[in-house]
Amino acid sequence: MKGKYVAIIEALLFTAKEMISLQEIADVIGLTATETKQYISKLSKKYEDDFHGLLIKEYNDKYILTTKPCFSSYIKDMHNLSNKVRLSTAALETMAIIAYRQPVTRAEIEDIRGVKAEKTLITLNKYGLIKELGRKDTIGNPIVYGTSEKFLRHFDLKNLSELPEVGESNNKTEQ
Amino acid sequence: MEYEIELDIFQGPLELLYKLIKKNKIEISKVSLAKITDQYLSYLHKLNSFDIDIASQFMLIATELIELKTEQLLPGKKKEEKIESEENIIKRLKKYEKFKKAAYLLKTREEEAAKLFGKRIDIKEKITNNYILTINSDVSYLADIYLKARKSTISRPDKLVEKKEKIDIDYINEDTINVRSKINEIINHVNIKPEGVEFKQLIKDKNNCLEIIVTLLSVLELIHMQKLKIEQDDLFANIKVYTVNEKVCL
Repeated sequence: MKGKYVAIIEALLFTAKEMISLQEIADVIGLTATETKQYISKLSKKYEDDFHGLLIKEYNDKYILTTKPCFSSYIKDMHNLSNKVRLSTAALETMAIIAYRQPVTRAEIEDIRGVKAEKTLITLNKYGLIKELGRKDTIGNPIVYGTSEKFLRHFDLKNLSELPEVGESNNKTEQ
Repeated sequence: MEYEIELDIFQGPLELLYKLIKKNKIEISKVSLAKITDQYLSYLHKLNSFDIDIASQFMLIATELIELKTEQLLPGKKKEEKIESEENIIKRLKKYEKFKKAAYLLKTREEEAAKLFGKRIDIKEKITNNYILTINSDVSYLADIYLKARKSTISRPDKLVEKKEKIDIDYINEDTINVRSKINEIINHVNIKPEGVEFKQLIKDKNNCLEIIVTLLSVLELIHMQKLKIEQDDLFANIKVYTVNEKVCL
C-alpha cells in the first residue's frame, strides 16, 4: 500500500509545472500532511541513486520535481536552451537587501545602496522575485517589500532561514 | 539616458567609495576615507555630463569627504559636529559592504540554481478547460442563422459542400491573397465610392473562404488604423464600409 502513495506523489509532481504544496498533495491522496511528508521523503530518497535524473526540491513546504544539477549541460544541449535569467549586480544587491531586511521600504533600500531603487524594484517585481507585503505604519505609509516564493526557487533556498550567513541579523533590529 | 552608462560602472556614490577603498586595499575607516577623497573627486570630474539627480547623490558624499580631508590637514581641532558625518559614511559603507557580500553569495546560489530544470509546460495548459457554451435558442433558429450566413457570402451554398479543393502536397502554391494587397484593394474601392461599399462587394470570389477571411481581417485592420468605419443595422445584416476621411491612403 505504501508504494502506491509514493507512486501517486510522483505522478502528481510529474504533472505540475509550478510548485505544489504539501497540503494540496495530502488533500488529493487523502492522508495527513505528516504522512504525506514521509512518502515525499521516501520518493526523494529513491531518486538519490545514480539511476535517476530527477530530484524533489522543497521550497517553503511546497514541492517541485526538477532535474539533477549535474545534467544541466545535457538538458541545455538537447533543448537548445540559453542561460536562465541572471540578475545584474544592482538587482542582486537590491535583492539581498530585501531578502535580509524584509519587510523593507524603498527608502531604506535606497539609503543602504545610495542609489535610487525604483527601476530595480520594477525589474525584480517583473521577474516575480519580490512582492509587496503591505504598507508601513509611518508617514506616507510607504510600501514594504519582501521576497516571494519564486525568490526561494530562483536562488534554490528551502526557506528564508537558509539565506547565507553574512552577519546580518535577519530582522530590522538596527534602525 | 547617458548617466545610465555611468551607472553601470558605479552604482552610486557608495559603490564608488567602496571600490576605491578596495582598490587601495585599505580598511574602511576615517583615515582611508580622507585618503581616497582625491580619487573620488577625480572620478566626478571625469563625468562631465550626467543627470542632476545622480550628480547630487555623488556630490553630497563628495562635500563630506572634502570636509573630512580638510579637517585632517588643518591642525585646529573643532571636531564634535563633524564626527557625525564621517561616522555616518563609515557606518553606511560597512552596511553596504555587508550587502555587497550578501549579493555575491546570492549570485553563486543563483548560478547553482540555474542548473535545476523543472517542467516547462503544465498539464493544465495542455488539457484545456472544457468551454461551456450556453445557447439560448433552439436548433431551428441556429439552422436559420447558418443558412443566412452562408447565403450572404456564398451565392450557391450547396456548391461549396461538393467542391472540395484538392491540395497538391508536393507543391505548395504561394498565397495570392494576403492582407496587404487586400488592404490596397479595399482602399481603391472605398475611394471610388465615398458613400460606402457593402462588405460583400469587397469579396471577388465568394467561394474562396480564404478571401473572405482575409477581407474581414483587412477591414478590421483598416478600422484599427482608423481609416474605415463600418455600420451594420442588424445582426447578420449587410455590413457597410465607409471611409473616415475624404480620401484614404496609407
